[in-house]
Amino acid sequence: MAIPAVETIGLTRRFGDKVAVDSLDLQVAEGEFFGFLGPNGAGKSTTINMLVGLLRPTAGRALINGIDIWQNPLPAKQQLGVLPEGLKLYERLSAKEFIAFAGTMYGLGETEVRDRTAELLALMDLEEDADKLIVDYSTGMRKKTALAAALIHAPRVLFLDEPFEGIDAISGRAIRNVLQQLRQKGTTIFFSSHILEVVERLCTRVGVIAEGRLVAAGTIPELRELAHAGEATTLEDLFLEAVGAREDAFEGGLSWLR
Amino acid sequence: MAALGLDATRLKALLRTRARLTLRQFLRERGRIVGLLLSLFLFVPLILGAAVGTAIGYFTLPDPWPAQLLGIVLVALWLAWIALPLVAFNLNEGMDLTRLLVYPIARRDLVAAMILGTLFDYPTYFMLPLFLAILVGWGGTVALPVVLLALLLGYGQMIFSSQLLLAAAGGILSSRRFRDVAIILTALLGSSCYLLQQAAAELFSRYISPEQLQTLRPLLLLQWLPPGAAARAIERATAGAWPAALVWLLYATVWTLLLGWIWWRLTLRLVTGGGFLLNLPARSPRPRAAAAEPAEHPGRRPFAWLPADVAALSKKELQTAWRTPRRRVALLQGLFMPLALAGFVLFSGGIPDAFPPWLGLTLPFYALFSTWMIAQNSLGWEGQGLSTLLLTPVPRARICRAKGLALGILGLLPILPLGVVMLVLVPSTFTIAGLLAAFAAVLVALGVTGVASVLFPFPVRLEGARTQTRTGGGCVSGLANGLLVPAAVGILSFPLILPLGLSYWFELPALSLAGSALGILYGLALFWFGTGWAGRLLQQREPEVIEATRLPDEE
Repeated sequence: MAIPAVETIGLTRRFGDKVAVDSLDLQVAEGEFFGFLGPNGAGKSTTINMLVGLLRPTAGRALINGIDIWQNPLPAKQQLGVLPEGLKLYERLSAKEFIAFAGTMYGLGETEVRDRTAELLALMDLEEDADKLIVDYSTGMRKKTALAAALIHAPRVLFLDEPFEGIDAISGRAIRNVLQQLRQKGTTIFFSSHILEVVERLCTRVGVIAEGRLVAAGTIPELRELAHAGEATTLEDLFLEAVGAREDAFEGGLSWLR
Repeated sequence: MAALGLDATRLKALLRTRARLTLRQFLRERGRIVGLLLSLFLFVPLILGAAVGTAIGYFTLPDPWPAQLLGIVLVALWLAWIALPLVAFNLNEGMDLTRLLVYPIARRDLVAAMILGTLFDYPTYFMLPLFLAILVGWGGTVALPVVLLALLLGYGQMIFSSQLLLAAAGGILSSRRFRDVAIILTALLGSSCYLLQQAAAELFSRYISPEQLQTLRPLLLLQWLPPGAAARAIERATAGAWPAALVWLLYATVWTLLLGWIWWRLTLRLVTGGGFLLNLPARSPRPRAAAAEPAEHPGRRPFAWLPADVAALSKKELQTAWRTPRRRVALLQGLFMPLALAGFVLFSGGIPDAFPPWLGLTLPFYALFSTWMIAQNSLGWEGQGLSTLLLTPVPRARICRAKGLALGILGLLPILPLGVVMLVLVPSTFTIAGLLAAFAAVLVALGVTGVASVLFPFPVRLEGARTQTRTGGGCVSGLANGLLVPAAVGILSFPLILPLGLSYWFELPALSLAGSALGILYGLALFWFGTGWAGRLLQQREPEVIEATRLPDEE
């Protein structure tokens, strides 16, 4: 059996009494475009942070292409590209400097760094502002810069936490095309988003997490089958069903508007 | 309140929100409490001293100086209040009227809430003792109602003026470029106080004679400014010249209303999309062709002799150190030492015949101190970028060594000119040995601070106001960085200092040179060992270091 690109075994994280991620067992095969969904506070970002080595798990293991990132962090990180939840950038570098810096950190050669940086700046429509400091960027520009830095070394596994939030439609289209291209080249993409239409359009498989537990996983047809739902059932319906959201919760509406 | 046409319920709600936001600022960032205590400790004696001094002045100075002093105090307070947002643009969000204008609140309620809300800003309390001194000095007569009214007008003028400045030039004040310059200039002005004071005293004594001083009447000019008019009204009322006092009061009232009206118009302009009145000129975008230049490989030029990742890391460290205003301030302040030394010589009547021969031997101590200042908490100074750095597969010891290399260059920057100045002042073998030992001291300090940065990191607000440097980090890290690390640096520097001391004592200059040369080897070994150890520790503690350097509002 092939080694999964991303695997968690009993992955758990507690913050005091609160269990943010509870014994999560998950496998993402190589080349998959995996959508990781869940309501706010469900444990998505906590899981991603543990998978990329930024947050120590309380228990369990996190493996990247079979390498335990907590036992053997550097070889595992060599294979990763990460767009984290909060954009963690060097505010006093320009986008050009930052992307080139990231490329060098992943061991790219001088020519590769130069060419890929120029290409990424063009793709993200950042050429005009390439020499401006990141501290002066808008949220969308910061996100595009972080994404460019995550892509420069053509990672084998790409973690994207809300990549389309704050991105305009033109850049969004360009990024979607790049992600499709990466997937065709065999890159595994672990993708967390609240925009379910995008997830439905891009992802080959979906996992739903609620209160730290994986409550559903599979392709969209598989999820429909599990939920005994018809062809017309959208991912949003399946998601709400999986997380147990009550449709009648606000049926009555607001008391003073009745 | 109803008599004044104010809505008590709304006003209470506004003030309660203001109080809550102020309190939460302190509770969320404990570092602010430390900042407050520190500023109380520093400024309260100064302010109280100034209040008592001016009160005594009002009673004891010969005429016409009490009135002149009153004018100077009121105008100085007004200017200080206006300057406050310039040096520390940090608007309490409860004070931000633009957020309130969406609600149906009457203008008078907003203005009343804004004026009363200043009572929640602690700088207000730095001003009150001086107002109280005016009341004591001038209020003990039948002119008391005029004094009270004039002080109220003066207070209103201060608040309206600073608000007016914020509403007119908030775009500039909140711009990154202005904040950067303000942080650097304020810090450098603070550092150069001694030099400025000496220069001012020299100029004053040279160009203004005691006779000229006696005929000076600053209030004649100051009276035309808003708070100067209030001062003149008080002076006239105390002299029994009631009609003149009323005219000046009227003039001060016109000023207050005018400032208030302009502020209101600018605020309305702001919330209705008109933007700030004054803005920095926008930088013209670079033409696409120019922007499409290929990216320079990071680190190639200055560090071509190093492995690419180490070179890129070192270059990044130097770039961010220079571009982050607080770090630049630390670098520039380091360069002040040679200037201060030159200034001391200049203002104390020229170069003395002989400096003590041991002067050059103080260089390693200065190197230890300046490097410790620059290199402590080096991971905290990464800011948000630390997570990005630790996502990369670069061996952690290389990261620590690359940072050490860059910080070493920065640590040496002030040492070199200082060394040159000392070699000119005291040309001796001991000075050369001191300079060599200073290089070694930089290496020792880097080895120790490299390890300490991993063990005791704390968060730093890189983009905040000048007054908020350290933001949390806990007691252990505070004590460790304040006591343990300097102690470790001191103890580990002993092998450097001892040969210097012995050679000076026994008058053996050659020994000092040999000791310093060996000291450099010792420093290199300590640097290599310290940064290697720091790298191993970092690999084990990455999530904990990220957590420890995270700002409260990033959680």
